[in-house]
Amino acid sequence: MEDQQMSETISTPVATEIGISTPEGLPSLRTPVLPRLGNLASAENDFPKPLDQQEQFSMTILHLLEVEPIDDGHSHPAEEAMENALKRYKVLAPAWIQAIYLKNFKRPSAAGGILRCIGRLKDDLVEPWGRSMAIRGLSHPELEVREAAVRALEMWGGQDSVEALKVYIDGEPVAWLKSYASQVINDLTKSN
Amino acid sequence: LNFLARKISRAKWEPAPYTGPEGIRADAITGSCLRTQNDTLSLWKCTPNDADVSEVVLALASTMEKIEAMHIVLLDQNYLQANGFVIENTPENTHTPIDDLRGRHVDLINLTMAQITFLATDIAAKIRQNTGFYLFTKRAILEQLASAVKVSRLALNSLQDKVKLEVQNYL
Repeated sequence: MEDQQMSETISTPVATEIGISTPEGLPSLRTPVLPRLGNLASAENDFPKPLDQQEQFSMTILHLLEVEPIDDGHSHPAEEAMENALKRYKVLAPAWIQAIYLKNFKRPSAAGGILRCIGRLKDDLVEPWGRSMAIRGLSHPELEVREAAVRALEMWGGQDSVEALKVYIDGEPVAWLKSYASQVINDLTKSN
Repeated sequence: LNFLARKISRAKWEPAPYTGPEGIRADAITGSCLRTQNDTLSLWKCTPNDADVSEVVLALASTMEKIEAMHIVLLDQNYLQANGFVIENTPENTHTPIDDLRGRHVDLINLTMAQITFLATDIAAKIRQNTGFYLFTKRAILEQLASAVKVSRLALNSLQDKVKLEVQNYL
């Protein structure tokens, strides 16, 4: 796994590599160019911390969620950025996305937006960590995040989603969201 | 067809602790629910029943990049007109490939900030009363699309790739 992480070292700005243009107004999205692996030992002082890349990714995602509202049925740039990152950095990107979610868990629009985006990605790209994020979202104090979590589970479907929704539904205090979750359980049960 | 349907993110319309019970979150207005372009807002004519609102959902879903649950709110056309809103029939402003639904498309034009606030207040009131809302799950929308394809009302090839694939798998 360590080797795989090393091989995912980023040598160009994250925003460019994941296929999006650098958003305007961000203070600094550029990371120093990393040395190739063979130079690691001798370049210790120049070697940028992995956090730099993670920070860069995090800022990009949060910025995209801030400037563009998520519209039902239409792709969002943050979702595309996450998808590209997950395909390119199979090991690092899930940890980055989970870190953004946890760090912004108390900001409903950001946490909900992240869940909406990962909910739109194929389940093989986000399993098992994505479903864990959604399940955690089901118990969020803010309605917006709980709804995003229900939506994500609806999008992925499967028996695991049904089970998670069954555990959650009795505790949902908002009538329309409870009704939505109930319909999703029925829909997914029919599909399984 | 004296009601006008608009897709909204219902969760953004629930009051937050800092808005008070009658308040409206800024995100409800600045998000996609009341986002205007050229001071115009796109809506669809319908009557207030499940079957007819489904037609609006079909029109919306037929242009989407992915199938997702949606919330629809209905606004009273007469009430809006009585309050100075200008409603224009704009079948040319929709990309739905379903011919018989284009005639339902209208735009609220020449909108001002005061009118957006009026619309927001109207939607928020419906939220408090829990009236005029319709929810369509992903599966319900998929079934709508598949039915339209089955009766040749909608050409499968006119759908966006991901939607086309899902409908194909469902059929």
